[in-house]
Amino acid sequence: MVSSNPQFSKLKSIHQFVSTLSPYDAVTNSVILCQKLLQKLGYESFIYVQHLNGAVPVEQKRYNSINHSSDEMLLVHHCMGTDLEKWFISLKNPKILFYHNITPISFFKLTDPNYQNSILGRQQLKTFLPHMCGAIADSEYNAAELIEVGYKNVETIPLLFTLEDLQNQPIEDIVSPNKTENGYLLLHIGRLVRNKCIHEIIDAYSQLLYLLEQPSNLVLIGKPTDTKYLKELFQQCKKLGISNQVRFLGTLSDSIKKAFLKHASAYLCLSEHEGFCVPLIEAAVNGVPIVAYDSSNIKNTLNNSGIILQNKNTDTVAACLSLLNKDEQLKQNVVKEQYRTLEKYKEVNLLTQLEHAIKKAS
Amino acid sequence: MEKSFTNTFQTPHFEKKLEAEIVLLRQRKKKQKKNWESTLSKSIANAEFEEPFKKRCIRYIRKWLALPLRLPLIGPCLKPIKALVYDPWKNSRLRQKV
Repeated sequence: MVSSNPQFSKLKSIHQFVSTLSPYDAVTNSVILCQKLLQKLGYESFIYVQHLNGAVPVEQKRYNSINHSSDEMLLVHHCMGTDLEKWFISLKNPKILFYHNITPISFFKLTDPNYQNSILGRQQLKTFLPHMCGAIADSEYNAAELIEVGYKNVETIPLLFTLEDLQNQPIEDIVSPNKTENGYLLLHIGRLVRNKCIHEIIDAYSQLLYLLEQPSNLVLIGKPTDTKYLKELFQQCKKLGISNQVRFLGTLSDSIKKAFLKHASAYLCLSEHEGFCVPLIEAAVNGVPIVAYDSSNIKNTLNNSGIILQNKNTDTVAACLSLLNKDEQLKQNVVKEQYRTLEKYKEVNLLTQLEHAIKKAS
Repeated sequence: MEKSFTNTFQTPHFEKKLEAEIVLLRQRKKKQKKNWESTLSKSIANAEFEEPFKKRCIRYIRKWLALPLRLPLIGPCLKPIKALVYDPWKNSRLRQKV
């Protein structure tokens, strides 16, 4: 499928660089998807990493083994600061930046190691600018940030998953923690960090309990990376007297996660910052109605579907969730609208967009 | 009511239903507060407290229930009262708190 353009046809390989791969991580999934698509487009494609991780079952090569050649393009995934800045600049290979967003410093304390990393990552967006022949962002929000820095012709391609992959994911045969006759399950998927406002989700759930007339659970799936914040969340649940109903499940495999999505009554996201937010699409694919706060890229990711809140007043959030639970017609409309907007994530559409971006960069 | 939505579900019909649900939520919380006040007041009236201390207890309950706290948080605030009702002679520090 390689183009007949003579300059473009010289390009036989498009490799990728990412700092490290980790299981159940959005950027890792994006790298694996890109490799699959690049190979479908007829390119040889390897994944080069700074730190090898055996837990991810894909072939990985050390970054310093890459050929310095102008015939081999490099797709550089950028989602954190890197200490390989000089190495990048010294590479002869044509490079395309793939920006996945970096959480802004305002969400970190000065003492947090991510604070410095966030500053470095954003500085490097500027440093890399003259050395990149193209730029891809996985969301409109991320693209806007690149344009502000000075990147031109930024392509927005949600190269994070394909709709087909999400639809065909195997499902674990588990019994939901709340699989009673008429149980209610409120779900959130994402790391348990402050900027995702898990404390506000717990607050809203505690209010929702006044409106629900059935047993219920709040299920939080995601890695607790901030121990102090996790302790605060436990304390909050204890204070509110809902410790038995809030379940912290940590990281789960995709198949178990899908089982929870199948059982969920609603998905709630009150995050202050999301570069894309893949779980929203996972919820939409599995027919879970979404209530989300309108921050960062949320509205674009949902393509204006779901119920998007302009404020996070706990009464409003609880009332919305309760309405979705009571009004079956409303729930069906929301789910149908969410599903309608998933077209752009089909593999064929992503493939066309990626091919176009490569042509432009070449 | 402050506008809550900008997406496809921002219809007057939906906003109206949502407003009704918020009213219902607030009514239920108010009812719960009243239930608490009456249950605790009854328990205090029946407890073996001296009269001035009973009055102090009632004032303490009303003070907490008047605060715009999120309802579940009121539970822990009223803990000293509950503890005293179940064991009137618990300890003097608890009595001082009230």
